[in-house]
Amino acid sequence: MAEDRDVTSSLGVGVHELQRVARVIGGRLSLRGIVEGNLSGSHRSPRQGVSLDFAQHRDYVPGDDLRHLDWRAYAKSDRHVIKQYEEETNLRAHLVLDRSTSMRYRGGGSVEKGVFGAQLVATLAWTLLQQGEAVGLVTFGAELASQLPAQSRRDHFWRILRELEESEWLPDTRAPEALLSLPGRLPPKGVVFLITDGFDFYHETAHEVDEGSSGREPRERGVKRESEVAESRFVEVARAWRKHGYHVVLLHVLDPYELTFPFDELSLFEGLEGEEAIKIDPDGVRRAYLKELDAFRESLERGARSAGVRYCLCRSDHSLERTLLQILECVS
Amino acid sequence: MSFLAPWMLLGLFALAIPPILHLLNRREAKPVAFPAMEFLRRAYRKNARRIKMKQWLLLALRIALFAMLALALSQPIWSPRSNLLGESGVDPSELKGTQVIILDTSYSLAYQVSPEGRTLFDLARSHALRALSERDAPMALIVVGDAPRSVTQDLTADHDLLAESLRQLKVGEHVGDLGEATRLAYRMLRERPRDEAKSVTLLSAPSRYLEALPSAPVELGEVKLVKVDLSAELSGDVADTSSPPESSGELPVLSERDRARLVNHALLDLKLTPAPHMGEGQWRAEVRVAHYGDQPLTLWPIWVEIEGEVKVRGFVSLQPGEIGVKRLYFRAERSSDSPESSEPETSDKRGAEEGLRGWVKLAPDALPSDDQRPFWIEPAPPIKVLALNGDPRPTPQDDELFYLEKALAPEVIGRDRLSLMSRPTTRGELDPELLEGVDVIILANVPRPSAELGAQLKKHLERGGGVWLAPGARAQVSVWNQALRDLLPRPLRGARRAGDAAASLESRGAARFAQIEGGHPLFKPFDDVRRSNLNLASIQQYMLFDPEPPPRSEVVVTLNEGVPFMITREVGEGRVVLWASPLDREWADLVIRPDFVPLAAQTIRYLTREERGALTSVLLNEKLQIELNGSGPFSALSPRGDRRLLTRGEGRGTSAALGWTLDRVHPVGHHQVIAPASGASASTRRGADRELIARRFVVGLNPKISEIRAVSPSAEGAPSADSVKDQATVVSALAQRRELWHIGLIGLLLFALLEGVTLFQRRDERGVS
Repeated sequence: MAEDRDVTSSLGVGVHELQRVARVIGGRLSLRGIVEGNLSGSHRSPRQGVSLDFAQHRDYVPGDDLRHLDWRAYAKSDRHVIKQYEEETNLRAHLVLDRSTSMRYRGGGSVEKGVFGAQLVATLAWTLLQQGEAVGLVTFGAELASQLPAQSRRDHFWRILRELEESEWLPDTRAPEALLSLPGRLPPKGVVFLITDGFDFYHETAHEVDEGSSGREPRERGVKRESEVAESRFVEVARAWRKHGYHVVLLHVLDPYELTFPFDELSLFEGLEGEEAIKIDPDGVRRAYLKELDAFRESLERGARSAGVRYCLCRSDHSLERTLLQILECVS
Repeated sequence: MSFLAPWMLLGLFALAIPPILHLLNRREAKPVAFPAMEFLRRAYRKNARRIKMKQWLLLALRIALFAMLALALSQPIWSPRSNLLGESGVDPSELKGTQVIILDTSYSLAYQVSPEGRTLFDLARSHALRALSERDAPMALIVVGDAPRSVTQDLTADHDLLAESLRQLKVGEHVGDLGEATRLAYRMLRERPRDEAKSVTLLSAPSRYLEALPSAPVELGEVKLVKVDLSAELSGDVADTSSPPESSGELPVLSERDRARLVNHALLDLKLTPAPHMGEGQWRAEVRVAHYGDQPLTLWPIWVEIEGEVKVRGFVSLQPGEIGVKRLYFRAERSSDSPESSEPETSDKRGAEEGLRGWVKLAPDALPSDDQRPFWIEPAPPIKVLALNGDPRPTPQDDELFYLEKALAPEVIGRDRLSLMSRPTTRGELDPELLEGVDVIILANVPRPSAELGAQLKKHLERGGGVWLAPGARAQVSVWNQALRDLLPRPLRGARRAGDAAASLESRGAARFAQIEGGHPLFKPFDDVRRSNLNLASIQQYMLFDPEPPPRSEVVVTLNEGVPFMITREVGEGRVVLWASPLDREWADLVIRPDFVPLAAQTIRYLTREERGALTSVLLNEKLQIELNGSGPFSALSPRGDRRLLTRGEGRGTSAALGWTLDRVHPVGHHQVIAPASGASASTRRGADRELIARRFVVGLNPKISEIRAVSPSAEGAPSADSVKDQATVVSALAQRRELWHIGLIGLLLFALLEGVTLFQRRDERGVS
């Protein structure tokens, strides 16, 4: 059985570790909870007009409505299972992981941002699959790289893991375009966990600004303009997804070095995506850099809020447990 | 501005360190992979100018830090040049028009300003030569010698002539009169047009610029009086565009510290007294030494030379500005093995044998001419004393003159000097032949001096002799008063027992000395006569005197009972000393006190007037005033062999001696007054032409300008030699200089603080993150 495999090469942690972490949050991560919380008062509740078409069983988790407990199955197998109907299984979780090269950065964190994102994906997938949810995986870079359709079978986890291991880093990204094309490729409705550092939104807009203007004007307009563009680009993507019935959770993964910029020696900074290197005395630009980054992060958070997207900042130096609890807090 | 430690300016090379480190740092940028390049690039683009400015600021701060450090360590100083440049503060090089240069050749210009022997005068001459070469306008040169004189009659455009005269000038030993020289300069400028630019340039030692100088007469128009700071010339502040021909090299540039190390001190005066209590032929030289340096003077050698032979050596240690007194005891005798050829005046060997030439010398310093003072040791003439013993006893210690004879023993007063003749007498009639050649006559308790004796004594006194009267129990008061009425300092009234008259004889007690005139010549051997053991003498009985004093008498000692004990009187040319007790122990135990010995010897000297003509000392270029017996003509023989006739002056003439004067005595050294053999009372023969040496005197350097630095004018008016001596505190120009090293230090701290703030801001940014 594939479950015997303990360590995956790309995640850096054992499966047992992932399972242990997943148990921490237990059944508290409910897609339905995400959807209900999100749509409360403004949309039709998915529980109305419940279909009578039986779809599958799943394990009972505390909080489930006892009316749906399959007493017969309990009598036969002495297990508490919940009967699920066709309508409910329409809620799928799509884990969308950023595989651009900027995610390969490892500064102060224990692992690279991309690996941390993959660990998050694996943990979320395990948790959701354990709860009988259907989970799919999409990796993207400049375009959509790979796609696993959502399934609720438990061995689907191993396919997800394999996909994570085999997926490649993509050198340059046009993430917003790729993400915009995503809803057409996925079945409608569901929850999308977008795991990214978001630099591609900024990256894109930065190109636009540089190309579209010259001289002192863009510099004088400053951070606000570019952050606003990044925000609008994200809102555009989020709204496109919402239009297809997706509820989006943005897991914004950043390295602690990106958040604090702790360098102190004169350094030649080289980008991971082939940008031109610049020699900078970090002390001189630290304050301005942090201002830029904060503005960007706030613009993403603001855009998420306006588009009905749950935003959660995940530091790659935090433990998985802490991050998952943080995610729980964000989505609850 | 100059530097005390200019070599520290080499530290300015350290200014290159920050740029080098800066360049090294630029080369060693560490590559760092970073994903958020867009943010970084934007942050950098927005702050590039500020970052660069900050980096340049840091670089500049660090360079300034090193600069300030080097500046502080080099100890910059600023000397107030305006003090030396006169009221106008004019740079001499900016002067236009007619110029009169006043060049001081006083001895203080011989001050050596460099170890190579370059003097202030050399600097002054260099300056003058440069001024001559730079101008075409008419100029004049006034040399401040013994008297100021102009090289040319009038202003001249022949600068070569002036330059030639300049090159032949030398420093003298005199103290030039700058005021008179300035007046002469104004007189020379009088013929020039009123609207012409005129200037008077004064070249002298800095201290002399503090003297009050006359201002230019109104009819001359504006005349700039420029006092040239020669120390600035030395430090190179004034560009030396044309070196004087005699000094092909550049001016030696000394730092202030090097100059401060050059010691300057001076012998201010010399007091020479016999010191018989130290032994036969012993003398005491008491010199006052002033120290004008900035560093303490430690164990600086001083010695006494007699005829070229060092007799005693000592050391002086003085603090800056201090004036100290040094006493040196020495035996004044010619060394038997000293060669005659060492005499400076070989032509006058006989004269030199009889008077000893002496010098007190300090080890030479930057200004050597004021470090020595001459003196004469004159052969003391033999003293003949005739003592009339009115109470002779067979037992020596009971004899009236026993103690006096002991006190005047040859080993005390000087071998071969004193001959004491004793004559027992009751009436004191004297054979006139016995009086021949007698200097002092002592009447020791003579019972009934005759009228004849009184007349003889009066005559003796008028000739300049001395009489010592010591009446005792045997003296008959009325006879004394009658016979000696013309010479007694006070008439006698009778003997009185000391103490309480109502008490019994055993318990009456004794009288003691209560008031002693310490400054009287009788007490010259005593440093402080009040502390001498004369005060321990107990006087059981004494002679009471009449309270009415005759003219020219003085009470020298008074007893605690208010009565005079010792009285002097001048009669004619002679002197009388009257004691209120005899010279034995009958009435008082004074004669057994140890200090009776110097007192008795000094009394004899006093009565012979030995101190009157001894050790005449005149300052250079001053007027000599002496009393000489005889009608002259007298001439002064200088150490160089020059002769000048003395003129009759206003001195206190008597029947025997007349006042004689000589103006502007020079040079420094040992001088002699020569008299024709027939007209002089001096006993020394000089040469084969029957000339006699009537008197010896020394001419010493006037030390009032030995302090070459600009001292504060604490003394009112023109400073005399005495006022220089009495200056307790000397404020020097070096003390007035402003040290600027602390400005460098403050700059250092300021820049360090600024750099700290800049770095702290960077750290703060890191902390914020």
